[in-house]
Amino acid sequence: MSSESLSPSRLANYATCPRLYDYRYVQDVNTPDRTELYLNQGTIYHETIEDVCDATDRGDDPETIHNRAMRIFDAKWDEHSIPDDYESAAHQEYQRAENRAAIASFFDPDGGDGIEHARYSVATECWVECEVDGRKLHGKADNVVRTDDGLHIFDYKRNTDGVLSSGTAEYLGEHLDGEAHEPKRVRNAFQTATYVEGVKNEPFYEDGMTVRFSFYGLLNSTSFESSSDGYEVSARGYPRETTGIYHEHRAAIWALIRDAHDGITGEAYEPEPFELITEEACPDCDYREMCADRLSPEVRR
Amino acid sequence: MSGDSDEYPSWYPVPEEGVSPEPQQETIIDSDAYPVRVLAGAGTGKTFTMVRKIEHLIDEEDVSPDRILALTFTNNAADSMREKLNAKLGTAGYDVDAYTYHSICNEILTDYAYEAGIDPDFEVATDAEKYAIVLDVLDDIEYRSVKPNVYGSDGYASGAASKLLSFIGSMKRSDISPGDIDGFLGSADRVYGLADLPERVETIASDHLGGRSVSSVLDSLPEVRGELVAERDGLGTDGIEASARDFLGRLVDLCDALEVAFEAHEAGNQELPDNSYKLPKYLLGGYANGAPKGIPGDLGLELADHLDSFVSDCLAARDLTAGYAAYERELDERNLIDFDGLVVETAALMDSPVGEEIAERWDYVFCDEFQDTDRLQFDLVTSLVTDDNLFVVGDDDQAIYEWRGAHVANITDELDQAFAALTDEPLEENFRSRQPILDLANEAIQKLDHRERHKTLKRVDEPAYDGDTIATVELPDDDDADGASQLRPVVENLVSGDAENLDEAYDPGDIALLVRKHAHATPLIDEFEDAGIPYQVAGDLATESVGVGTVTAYLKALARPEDEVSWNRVLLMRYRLCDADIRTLNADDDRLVDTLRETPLEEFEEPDRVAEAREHATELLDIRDSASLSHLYRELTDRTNIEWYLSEQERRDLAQLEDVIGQYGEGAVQPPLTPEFIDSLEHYDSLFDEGGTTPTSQPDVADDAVNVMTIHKSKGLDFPVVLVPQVTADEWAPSSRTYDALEASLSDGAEAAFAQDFVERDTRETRRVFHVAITRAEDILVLQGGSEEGDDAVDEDSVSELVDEILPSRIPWQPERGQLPLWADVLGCLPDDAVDWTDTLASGTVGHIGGTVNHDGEELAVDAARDRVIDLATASLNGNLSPRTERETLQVSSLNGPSTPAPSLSHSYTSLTAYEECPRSHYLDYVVNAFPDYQDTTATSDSGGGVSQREIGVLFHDTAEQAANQAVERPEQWYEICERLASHRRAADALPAAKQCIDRYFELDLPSYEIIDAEREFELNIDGHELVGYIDAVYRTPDDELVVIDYKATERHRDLEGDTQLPIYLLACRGLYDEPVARAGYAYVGDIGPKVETRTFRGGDLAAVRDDVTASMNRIAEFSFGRYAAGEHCQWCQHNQLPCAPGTFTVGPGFNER
Repeated sequence: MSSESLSPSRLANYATCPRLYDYRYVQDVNTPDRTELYLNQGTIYHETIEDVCDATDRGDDPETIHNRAMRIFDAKWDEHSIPDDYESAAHQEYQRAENRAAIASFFDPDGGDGIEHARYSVATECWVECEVDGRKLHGKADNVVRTDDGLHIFDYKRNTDGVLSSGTAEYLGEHLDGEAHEPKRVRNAFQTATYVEGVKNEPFYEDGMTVRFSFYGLLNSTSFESSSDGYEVSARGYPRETTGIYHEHRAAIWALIRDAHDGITGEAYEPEPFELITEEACPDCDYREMCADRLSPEVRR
Repeated sequence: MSGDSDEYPSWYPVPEEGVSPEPQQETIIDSDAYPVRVLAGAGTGKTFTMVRKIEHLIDEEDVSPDRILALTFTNNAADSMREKLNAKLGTAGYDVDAYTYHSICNEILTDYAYEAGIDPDFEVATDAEKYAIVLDVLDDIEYRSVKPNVYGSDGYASGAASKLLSFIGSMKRSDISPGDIDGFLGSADRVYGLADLPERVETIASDHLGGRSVSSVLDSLPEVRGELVAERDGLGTDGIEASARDFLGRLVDLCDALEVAFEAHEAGNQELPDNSYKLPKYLLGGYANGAPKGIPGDLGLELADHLDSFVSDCLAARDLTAGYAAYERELDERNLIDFDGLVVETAALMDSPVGEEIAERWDYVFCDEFQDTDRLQFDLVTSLVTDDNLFVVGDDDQAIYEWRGAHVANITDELDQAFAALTDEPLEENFRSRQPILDLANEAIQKLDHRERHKTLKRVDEPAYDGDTIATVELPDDDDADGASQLRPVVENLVSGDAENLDEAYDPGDIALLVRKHAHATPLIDEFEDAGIPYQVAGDLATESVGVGTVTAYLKALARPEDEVSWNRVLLMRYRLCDADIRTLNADDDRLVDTLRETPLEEFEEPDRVAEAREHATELLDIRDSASLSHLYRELTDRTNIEWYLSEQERRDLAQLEDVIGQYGEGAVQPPLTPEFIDSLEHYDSLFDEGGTTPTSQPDVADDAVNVMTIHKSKGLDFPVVLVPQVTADEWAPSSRTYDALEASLSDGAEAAFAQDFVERDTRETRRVFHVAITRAEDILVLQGGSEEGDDAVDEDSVSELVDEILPSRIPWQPERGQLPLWADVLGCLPDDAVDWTDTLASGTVGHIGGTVNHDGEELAVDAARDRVIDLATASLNGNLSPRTERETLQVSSLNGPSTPAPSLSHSYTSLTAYEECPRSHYLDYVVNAFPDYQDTTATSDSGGGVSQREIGVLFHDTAEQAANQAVERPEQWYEICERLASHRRAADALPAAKQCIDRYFELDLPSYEIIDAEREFELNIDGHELVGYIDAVYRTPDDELVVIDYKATERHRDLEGDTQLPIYLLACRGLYDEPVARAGYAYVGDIGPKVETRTFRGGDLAAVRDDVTASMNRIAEFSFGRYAAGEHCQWCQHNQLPCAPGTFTVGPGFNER
């Protein structure tokens, strides 16, 4: 067992495919440039929310918070959005409109979730660490919000499609048993575990506090309205909480973490279970074109 | 040809001397009537007839060849027509203007660029250039209903770029300009004014027609009618509003018809089924959730939907038209004309005053495949015709390109209208398919509604045959089953030929798998892979093979040196670097390619391999920016010899990539390798899916592999065996297309938008596609399909019937539109002798397929043996081979299987020579067709400095043959033929040397002799063995003696005393000529010439050679890998890295020293 501290993201990569982890983190093979459009958009809304939360006091009125958010968004967009990421100016403008609509709705003075997230934010971009069963984990929480009876950690995402839910939580155990391949939901579980446990080591945590964790999809619902003058987009976000799932499936989640952690520290990179990985992970893998494990059965045929 | 080669290239022009036209064809050829239309069924020799008619005009009617214009669709077809005419008429044949419909436009526009107002240096835009322009004009699109996303959420193809590309394609093919669309649509406000109309119609229906009885609904109908009339009268009378107005008018008619029927019911004069009262509300779209209970779900008649899809197409068009206009401007600015633009510009030019002058260049216009022409091409043809001298052939039953703009009526009604004096000649006698196949084709096409002309195909001169002709295979019941596992044994059985049902064993190249859509091919390709059945996929079907992936990765790595994934792929798959060395390269923080170039070799476990990779990468990166794409690709394949690492199958797949690269290389200035090219490679299939399926390109056909292609690509081809998979209603159902109604209203007037049911039209086309598939088969047609049970309740059927009865004629949509019970139709049309192979040839193999391999005292099937070899190799790599296993030998000589007949070997002089030299090399090259060993390409070179001796020889031989056929006697005429052949096959490099051969030939006496025969094919049967070949030439000497001459363009001298090649030819002559031929010799036209050496061979000489040859062929019947002879010849052997060759010749990959 090693004392190496690992992030949920690394663990999840390993859970996706040990060989993928080998290529990405051990051998550090560069993948061809992909469009960074969604990455940059992520930076924009993350930084917008962070800055708004940091600048907001509990007593700020909703209108002020909203205006602040829109101002920060515009500046962040100018800072991080790169025209070369887009094939056309129209495409960039469309994406701007969509993201702006999401921010506008999140910080809607009339009941937008972001108003409370900003007012009660205890920490943003909060580095957390924990150690369970001798395995060290770390991560960075987007926003920690003070609630009546404790803390609520938020991870902001574009949307929560495919995120771990009560209906899909049973797949965690199946992944553990090698019966299913669910790396995305496993990653969500790793994140939940890391943040829920990690935040307890923070100075603002007090004994007896209830800790909750949610993913928040800022663009969970979008619409496109067309008229003779052009188009209009709107967007709306909502959270998906995974705290309950974490508590209910705690044993399986920590077994998964132990497996991945030990695999990484033990440098075991053979892709297992091979058939599942070939079927589920290989098609979208950045390294599929170079992977000897994937190529060999095809050559053999 | 010489003994150096006994191949006869398929494109080679063969004068069809032996073939006489059949009476039907003769009538057409001799007739003076013009204009004439020949509706020719499949396999009736329509192109043959057309070529003969052109010959007739030149030979018999003294028409000057350059006054004749012949148009066809593919370059292959135009070339083959030219070659055929040339073979028959000599150079006069080349004076006939044989063009494709597009190349004639290119020609005319180049000649009349000034008059057409274009730059004479224009280029035809490639697909890649078109896409680049589309990306550049994206910001010109006026985004309202079109989302600006370029990369759509459902994949690349749904983004704005592909929407614009397909919109431009649809509009341009129908000669619809951006201005036309602007005029039709008007302002955005006007179009948006109609956006809610479909919903308003639905609201009218749901507000008024909710009555629960016929009488209450009847009471409401006048009100509905009134509101519809009010909506209608509120609309303008031109453009988009006229179309919408027309649609509402049709609905008003519908109300009237419903009223009549319901009134009749109320009066007791008409029975109506239960639930009929729901019909009006349903038809007008008043139910929010589709058909209510009692109305069949598959009725498909919610009529407001048609207006809805028309309006949303118009909304999209309103946005895209500005992009289309910008695209046109960009083309113009870059001095490019796209494929469709060629015809548009030419048609416009023909309409101008200079049009007449252009048309006067030709007296006769011949058109092939006329059913595939689009509206523009029709106008072009009619404008080229003077004095009605038009000859048109085509087959309306084979019109399968309507979906991409072809106008089927061109060959029927449009021609009737354009040429009052048109006469019709039929061609129905088929020379291709067995009669049962034709019976099925005839019967099945009868199901086609609206079929204009009725042809019945009849086979003539059907050869004897003893086997099944039409076989059906019923798909398994399982819904998910694609039935691929049924067709695998079918192909295996066809290839083995053991089953009683079969007349003979078929080569894989005799078999074609013709698919309706790409998805049908994929599972079968997997089965072929597993079974080791060789296949070749034609251009428009995408494949993904490991070897091609490696070549692509190399290109990617060169284009983006920071792409380490691609470098890793190349290092692993081409240079076979071991894991440790790859890790060493990846470990460094620098770019992998820099580490590869800089790390000291001693740090690697296998430094030789790393060194080779380093050298290649450095060389290729050095030339990357200066070399054109195709040059770089050539350098890549030459330097790295990467093809050697590919399987035979992968080499076939590679042809596709080469096609794409070739396309990029067509422009005057070839682009260098760029990341953009790599991107376009990745998206090529999804973007140009449609582009690949044009009637203008025809695939190359493999003769040693099962040909897999779409039915569209198979047009004009034929195969002894045709397999058509997944013939079911669902799989063959046409899908509706965007812009149908818009396109129709722009082409034929606003009221054409709703005058026909486009889905029904596409259903008809699907039947014709099926007809094309059936008629490709010569001997055996295997159809695989199935039907689903109808589950409609009886009373719902009666609703259907009622609707059918009530719908007024102005409603073009019928109940259950677009349903195509294809398999039920097939079963209904099957001739009596059709057989069901489901439980026979489709369920298992007969006899022993694939052979066995003996190892370690076990008899293994091929699959198991393959695994065993790999296991042994792995064990060897890991150092785990036990000494005992090491001694075991794999008995590969039994690969063909003890009980399967030996492959039918056809011998030639060359193959016999190879056998005499070394039985093993013969076995590898002629029996199992093994691929050659790895060769270090830089070490081998031909004496001709890059030009192969063989290429020169072939060029000279072919020139001599054509010269003989055309009775051309002067050296400059030989030169002319030689130059033309060289340019045709891009063999310009070989031309100077070939001309020297011609010079030497004319120094000989031979040119003064009478030439009797050239390139004469023969087939000798000796003791049950087949020996084939070609005799270069037979001359008659001034002494009236026949002499066989074999041309030698090589440097090798032959000793006539021990020669066996010439006696074989003389033996063959016994069957070819009435008079005895006893003299034969070699004419040396290469460097060691010019000279002729001949001798007379006596009967005894010939008998001795015959005995020798027979003995040889008998021995070859027991061919094996086991026997070999080493010697001088090993240096030329393609397999000299085997241990049998003397050590000096064996150079393995990775060990070559330079």
